[in-house]
Amino acid sequence: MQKPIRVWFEKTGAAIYISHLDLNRCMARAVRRAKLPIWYTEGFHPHPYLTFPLPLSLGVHGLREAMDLRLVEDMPLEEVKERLNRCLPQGLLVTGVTVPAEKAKEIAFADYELTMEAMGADTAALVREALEKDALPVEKKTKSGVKEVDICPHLQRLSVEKQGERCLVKVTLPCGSSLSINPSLLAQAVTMACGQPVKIVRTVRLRFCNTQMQLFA
Amino acid sequence: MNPVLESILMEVQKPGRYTGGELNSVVKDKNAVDVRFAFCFPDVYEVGMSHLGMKILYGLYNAQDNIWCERVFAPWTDMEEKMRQNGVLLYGLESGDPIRDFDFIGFTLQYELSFTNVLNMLDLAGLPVLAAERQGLTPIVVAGGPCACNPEPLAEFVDLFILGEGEEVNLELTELYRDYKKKGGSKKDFLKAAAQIPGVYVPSLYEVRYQPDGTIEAVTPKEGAPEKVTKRIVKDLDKAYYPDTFVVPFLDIVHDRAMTEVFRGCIRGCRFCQAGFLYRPVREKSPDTVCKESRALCESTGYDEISLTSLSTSDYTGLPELLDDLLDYTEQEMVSLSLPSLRVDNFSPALMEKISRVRKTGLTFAPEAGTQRLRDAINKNVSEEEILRTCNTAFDGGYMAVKLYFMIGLPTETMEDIEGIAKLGQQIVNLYYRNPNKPKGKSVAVNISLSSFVPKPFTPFQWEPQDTMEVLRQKQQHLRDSLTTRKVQCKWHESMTSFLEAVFARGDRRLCKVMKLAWEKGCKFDGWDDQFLFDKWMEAFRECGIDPAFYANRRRSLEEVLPWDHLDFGVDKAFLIREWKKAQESTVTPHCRDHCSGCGANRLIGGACFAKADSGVV
Repeated sequence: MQKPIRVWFEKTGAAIYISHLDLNRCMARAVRRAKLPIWYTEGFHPHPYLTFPLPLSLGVHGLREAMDLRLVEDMPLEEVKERLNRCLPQGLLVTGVTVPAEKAKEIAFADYELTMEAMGADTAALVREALEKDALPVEKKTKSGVKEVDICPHLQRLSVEKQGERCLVKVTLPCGSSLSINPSLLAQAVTMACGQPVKIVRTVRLRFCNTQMQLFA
Repeated sequence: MNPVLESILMEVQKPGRYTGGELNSVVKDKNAVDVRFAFCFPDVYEVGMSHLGMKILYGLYNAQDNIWCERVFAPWTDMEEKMRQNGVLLYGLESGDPIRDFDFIGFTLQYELSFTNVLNMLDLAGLPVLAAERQGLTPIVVAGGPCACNPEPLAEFVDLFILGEGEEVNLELTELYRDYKKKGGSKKDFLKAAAQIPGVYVPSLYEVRYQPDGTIEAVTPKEGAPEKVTKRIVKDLDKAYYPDTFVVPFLDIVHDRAMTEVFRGCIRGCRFCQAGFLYRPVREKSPDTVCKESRALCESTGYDEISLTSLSTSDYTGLPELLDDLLDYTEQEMVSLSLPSLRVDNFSPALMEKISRVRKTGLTFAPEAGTQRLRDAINKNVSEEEILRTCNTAFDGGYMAVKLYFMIGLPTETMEDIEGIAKLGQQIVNLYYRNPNKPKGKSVAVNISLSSFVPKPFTPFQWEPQDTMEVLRQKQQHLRDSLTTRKVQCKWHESMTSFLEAVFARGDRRLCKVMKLAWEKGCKFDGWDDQFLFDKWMEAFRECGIDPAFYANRRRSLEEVLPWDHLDFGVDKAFLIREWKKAQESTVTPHCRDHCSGCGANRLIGGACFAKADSGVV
């Protein structure tokens, strides 16, 4: 038997500095320690088969990340969660295990919370001022070179909240295979629009959504 | 996490080097311990985290309720810059606390080219690099590891050195410290008392006098320090502490696997090899212990690879038994097993069959020299026939690449010996094409890795000059000219780093000022080609009025007082002299199991040497 399961987890604290490649290895080791009955690849050097529907950049906090595995023996999903949590390092926490309802390619959007800071300025005012503009051009690196993109039409469910000199920006950005906007581009756009350096000091990916902007399951 | 640290982590490469929080890292309540130890590896995280000795001592310390040991590595240059800009002091990875406030700061000295990093890390910790300027009792700066066998080039920076294996002496030292901390003793009194612990060398308690020709006249102990400091060893490895878990890094480190030590020491006595003399006598672990420890490590770490570590692993008497037991486990659990250190002469088809049950990678052997005469001179007891037979066995088994390690600049070497390396490479290529079982239509690759010989203390070559950089370059070029096929590829390192290594390996205390000056000029990470500043080093030597060739390229007389003569690693000087003479005559010495040559190391275990235990010969 091969039963696909989806593990939902948080990646916070020091674990945000684990790169995607390193996370793969880290999870594989946790799966081994947890002695989960999962499917191993059948090459000369078998290793636990696990995939991540949407990789997370280094330095970004993730509150509802996903990892897909295949069970080869039946095991209550609650037990999978408990076993993994006993074997994970600090900062990685499994919050639930489900049977996947959607395929990874359905992922199209992600919700973010960005803490932005412009040294010695009212960041919220700067960001609001930038967002008034008709266009927010940024330089986006693509496989074919640097390309100018206007991110304005891609900012959805946007809000700006003043937090002292800093501000908290909540935004939904496209993250599908056809179009993906990295949240760091928002800082670049604001910097270019108001001529003052603005940086993101904390990036949290809250969840990702399907093409209908509903929670990915 | 400290917010300043958090703000700089995203601006450096591989921030995972600096965060801690890895699985199995040990976090204790700092108020519940009375000794805090910063275990420092003077190189980057990926290198230091691969080091077995650190894993053993980290585990050992943290197994004591009242000690908290943390790991510290040299921050890479980008991180160092950010730390200095933002006033972040060097901290322990587990707590994030500055190591300046710890009780002990301990360095492991694995290679000479990491010495400047010791200075740099002390400076990053916010401490004076000179021991004499650190006047309080704490932190006490200690150092151990193979390069502590000649610690003189670091004598002015380190408070005390620990010679030999640390499992027992480190805890004795901590115990002594606890008393001094309680009664508020001074650093000076503590060091004086510490010097009475066997295996502890306090350099400030020894006075060195020099002769007009620059050689040492005498080294005299003061304030009751012993005439000779003898290294410590653990007698019974089956009873010694071994960790049942390792800290599992997030980053891909150099050796990212479980490691089980199968024995210490080496029966071989290759005359160039410092480890072969420093770690004597041979002591084996039982296959049962190795098996148990390997399983425990895999289960607690989730590693899918185990490496059996020792010098010359195929000399382990319990190897067949161990492989049978261990392979049953590893195959079932889909763990791969590797034996990184094998010898050419006892690499049997049966052994290869066992290893290849798991995974096939390249094969690596170390003939070290190109002709039989020179192999005999260095006592690498391997014949050409054995090398060829082994390669043939490997080709039969489907291998298509062989890696061979050689050294150039060995004592008594001639250009004929250099040509011998190329000839041997060619013979192996020919062998492949004559082998009927070779993979069809596939070419062979013979990769030769060439290093430059560095004479080391406590070896029979400790009196030998190193070839000058110019001669080494000529020899490299001559080998390149002697190669006639592209199926033999040859790689080597720059001779400048080997030269500096040779200076510090056999240096004395006068080099301390050179090292400090070079470090002030920006020298650090000298083992990294892209960081090595040879010109700055030469500048520092010139400004200090010290000729590096005096240490590297000078032939020393057998009567000369050597900078490490007051240290005892168990091997008698008379034995080293006998071995040196035999080298000049290209005469071999049989290995310890075949015949005891009386090196003297059995004194350390107080009786018959374990290498000869079966035959009962002392």
